[in-house]
Amino acid sequence: MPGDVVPSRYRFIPLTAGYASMNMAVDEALLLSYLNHFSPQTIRVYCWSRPSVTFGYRIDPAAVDTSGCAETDVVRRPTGGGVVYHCECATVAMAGGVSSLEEWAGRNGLPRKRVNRSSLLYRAVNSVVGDALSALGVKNSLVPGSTSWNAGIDCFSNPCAYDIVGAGRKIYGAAQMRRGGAFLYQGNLLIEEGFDIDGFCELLREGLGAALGWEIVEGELSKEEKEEAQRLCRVKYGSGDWNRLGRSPPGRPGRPEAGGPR
Amino acid sequence: MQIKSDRRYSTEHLWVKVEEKTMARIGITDFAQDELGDIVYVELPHVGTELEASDDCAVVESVKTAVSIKSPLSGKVLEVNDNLDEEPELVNFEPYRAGWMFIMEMADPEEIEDLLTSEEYSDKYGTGV
Repeated sequence: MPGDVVPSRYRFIPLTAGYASMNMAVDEALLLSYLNHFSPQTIRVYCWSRPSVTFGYRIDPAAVDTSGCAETDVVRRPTGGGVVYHCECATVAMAGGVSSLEEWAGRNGLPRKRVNRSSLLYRAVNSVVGDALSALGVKNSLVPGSTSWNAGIDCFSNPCAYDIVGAGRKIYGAAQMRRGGAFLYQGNLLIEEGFDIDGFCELLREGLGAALGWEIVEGELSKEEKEEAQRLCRVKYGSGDWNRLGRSPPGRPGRPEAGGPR
Repeated sequence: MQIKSDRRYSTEHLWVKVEEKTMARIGITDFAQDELGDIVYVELPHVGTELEASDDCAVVESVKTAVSIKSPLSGKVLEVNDNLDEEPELVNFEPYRAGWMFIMEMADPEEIEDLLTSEEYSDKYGTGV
């Protein structure tokens, strides 16, 4: 865990809207900045400035069906999982240390060493999202934890453990990136017209604080975080190398094309 | 949890087995594969890649989680386990054998001493699992 970060303290950034490449860039900037000791752990909720398609790290860009998406942005995510079509939706993103889950694990009778398990983050956060939706009158339930992931390419056609379903369909799913004891979590919520997104944000903030034992304070992106996001947007999420060829940008952070994975 | 006594371990849950004077075989530990769950994708470094210790060198995905793996040593990648392209689950089934990830020519064999012994790794991660 980075130096002087209080493991149970998170910053909450109020609702924003952005284009797909910048949304991804800000999320990764938050993770990298946290790892590099100049950002707190952060939660944010954002919308999409225009319809977009994102696909998980391992997905072959050629396998992403973008027919009928001529005017949409198509961006590869830093997180895993399948293809997500972002139209009427909001995204919950979090960047922090896995150690911040220890209090929640302790309360739930789970060994603290198990907080590295990615499924625990889904269970912890998605439960809070489900409760927030219930409070807003959206009937929903968590997919049982025993449900395996079939690695299907279309995220919202493949409910798996701790996803949220409502009205006979998956309405919330999440994916993660893990790096050096830290996580980046991205969860996508399908919403309908008239959905109280501000109320959802407030309930999410309160719920995460109560359920996970976090102190959550409102804040905004710093100048350094914005600059890092702009850099990542330019060299990575706005680039064809990353989005169409699956290549990482040269230089660190990130994996240089020549020195990184094949 | 299985821990092999004939190799060293990084705190990021990689094992390193020195096979010749300067060559080391590298993979992820039984603890790590169990934590990750069903692995569906493994991305390995290019043969010939020069890595510094702690450089990102591979990506593993399980349960919608892309995990960035850091190299435990400095050196040059000599060989990668191509079988993981088609059978990434080998990492789950045989993390210490068929699920190995890559072989490296060590730039500085003394870096091995910076890694945990099997006893130290067991003390740190072998209980409560």
